[in-house]
Amino acid sequence: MKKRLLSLALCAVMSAGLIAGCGSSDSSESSGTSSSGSAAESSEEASTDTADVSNFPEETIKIGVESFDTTDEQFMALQEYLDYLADNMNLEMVYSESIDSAEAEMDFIDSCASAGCDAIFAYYNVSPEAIQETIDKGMYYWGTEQYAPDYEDNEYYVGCYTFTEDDSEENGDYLGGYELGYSLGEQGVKHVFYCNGGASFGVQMFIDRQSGFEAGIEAAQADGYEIEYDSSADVIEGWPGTDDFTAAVSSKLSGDYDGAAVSFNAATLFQPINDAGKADSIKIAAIGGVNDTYYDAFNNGLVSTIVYDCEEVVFGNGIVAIINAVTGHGDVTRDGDAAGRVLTYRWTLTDPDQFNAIYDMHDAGEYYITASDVANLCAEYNSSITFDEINEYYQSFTLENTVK
Amino acid sequence: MEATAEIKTKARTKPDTRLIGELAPIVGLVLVVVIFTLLTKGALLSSGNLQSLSSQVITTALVTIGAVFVFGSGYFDMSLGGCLCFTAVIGGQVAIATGSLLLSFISILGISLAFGIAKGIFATTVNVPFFIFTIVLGSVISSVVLVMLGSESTIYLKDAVKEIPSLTFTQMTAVNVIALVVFFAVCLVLFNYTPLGVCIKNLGGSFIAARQSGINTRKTTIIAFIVSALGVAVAAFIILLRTRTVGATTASGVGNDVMVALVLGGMPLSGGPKSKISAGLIGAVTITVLNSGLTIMGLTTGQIQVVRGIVFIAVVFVSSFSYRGKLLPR
Repeated sequence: MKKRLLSLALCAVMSAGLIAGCGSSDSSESSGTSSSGSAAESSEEASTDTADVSNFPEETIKIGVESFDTTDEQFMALQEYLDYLADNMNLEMVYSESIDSAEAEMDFIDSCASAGCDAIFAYYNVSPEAIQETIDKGMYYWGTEQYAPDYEDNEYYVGCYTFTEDDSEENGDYLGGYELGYSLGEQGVKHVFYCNGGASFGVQMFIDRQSGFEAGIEAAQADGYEIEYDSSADVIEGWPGTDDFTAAVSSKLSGDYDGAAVSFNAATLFQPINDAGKADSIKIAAIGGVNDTYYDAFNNGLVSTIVYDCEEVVFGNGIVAIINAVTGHGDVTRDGDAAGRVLTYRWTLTDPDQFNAIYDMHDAGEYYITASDVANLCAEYNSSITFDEINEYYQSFTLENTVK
Repeated sequence: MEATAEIKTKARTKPDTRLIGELAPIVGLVLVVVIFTLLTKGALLSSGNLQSLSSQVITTALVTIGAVFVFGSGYFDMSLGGCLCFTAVIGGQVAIATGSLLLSFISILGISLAFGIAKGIFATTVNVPFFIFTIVLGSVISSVVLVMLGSESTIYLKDAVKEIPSLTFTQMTAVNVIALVVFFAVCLVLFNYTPLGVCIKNLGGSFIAARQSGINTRKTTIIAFIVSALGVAVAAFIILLRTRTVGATTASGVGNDVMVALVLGGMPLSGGPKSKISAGLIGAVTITVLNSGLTIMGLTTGQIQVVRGIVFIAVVFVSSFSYRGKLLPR
């Protein structure tokens, strides 16, 4: 009995200690270094202002952030950027656990409302009902271009990012896939296989990526590049971790392929390719990030193309929209009568120097768009700012303009 | 004399230890509520969050309360999440095709009961470890759902042929509370005050003893699965009402949540006489309050998982006081 009670007491002490130590971070204690001017200077349009904005906005803005997988590399990179902003501005982030269903999404939004969040930053969205739930709870909502037409007239829907200037069906996923196909053709690949992720299971983003990839291959062929691809024979369906996927990869690696395009994290192919002794003869193109996973593979040439969404460029505008809305400048989030869609560009990385420049900057905790840049895009801080200026600002961050 | 005194001391201590074990789930729930109310400065028990909690707890609670009948009978059902997903998707498809919530509910109920009866018949006729069957069944159901959805990953009720009205937050709370109270009351009566409950506990305690006592094990088992299926059906319909969205990932976490809720509620997973219907409700509320409180506090995912793990271990550890020494709880 004594042992049990002692163990119980230890459990209680551990729980209490952990809970006490896990209190939400106080933004007033921010001590993070302001981003360097050199990072912002590398963009022609980027501001060089590195003013201390740790007390901006005047009142702390609490933002709930939705994620589908908290271990996803892109999300982790975005989380680092959002934490950097929270450290250097008067912001507080509440992150979801991995959300895999509509009911989990609704639960998170309800909890955010109870936690006093001012807005939901939807890095991920399952259901349009989640947008309605957010609005019903009196919070602002940013994200999810797919449902923008249904909610863009509502003042609580403050916009999203977009990769296209018009309403064409060539959305961001399509364009990402296109870049995979075209760049491999451009790099002289003769025969490529494509890992299509969830396309065969009806997952729309993967369907769009595959359509884009095939269009990219056709465009490359039309431009005279001798790349071969058969949409029935050169496709691997599904994800790693299954016997079917492993067998299909082995089969392809025993063939004459010199290129692989992957619509998800390509790291799962590194080992099989190395084992097959084809590290020097196959080029991989993937939709991925600038991180440790790809660092060696990109620098030694195994990965030749990464279609990359720079976190501060593609997603950072959501924080600008939320701050403007919460501080009473909702007009700055509107493009005419509708919620604004900020045009951003994906970066197609094919040069290791560019990859390393981005990697080094982020590794040092610095960003192309700093906290003071974000503040400058907020009407409460810079009263002359307009939505068009915000839109133009983010558009200026092309790979060529940003990474020298 | 000394030996007699020692025996008396042991006799006095054992019931105390068991009492601690019996009360552990309730004490755990109260502690979780009190601690998180303090840590969230009252936000946990705000009227808005209480309504939210009703929505968050309802699915797990309904499925877990029904599952007490199955687990209490000694059957380990790992297919509850899959069945819930399947029935919700069917309900969604019927709603979209007909624009009728009534037909949707009837189809959900029919499919769920069919699953329950089929599982009950399988459990009583096929001599295969039942939990293995349910693992396979859950996997097969998930695959069937993918086939049914075809090129769509998600179904939205807003695409229905006729507009289906959505409920307000308050209306949804009322539906949740009514469904939970009614289902819990029915299950409480069935489990504690009818011969069915006695038969289930006996069956879970010892199949052979139950059969030799004259209990119709086949009938008892099938009824247990039917009650569980009722809980699944109501939960599936409420998911549909609340989210108006169903897909292959619907209720994906319910299978695990039910297991955790049962344990947190103080129910031995092997069933038997110590099974209690309150375990379903207490466990579901505990896990929901814990999750909500941790999110409201703004902890990171890693911190949430560590705290949740420690609380689970503590509650299970204290609950184990009521088990017989060195034997699996029966």
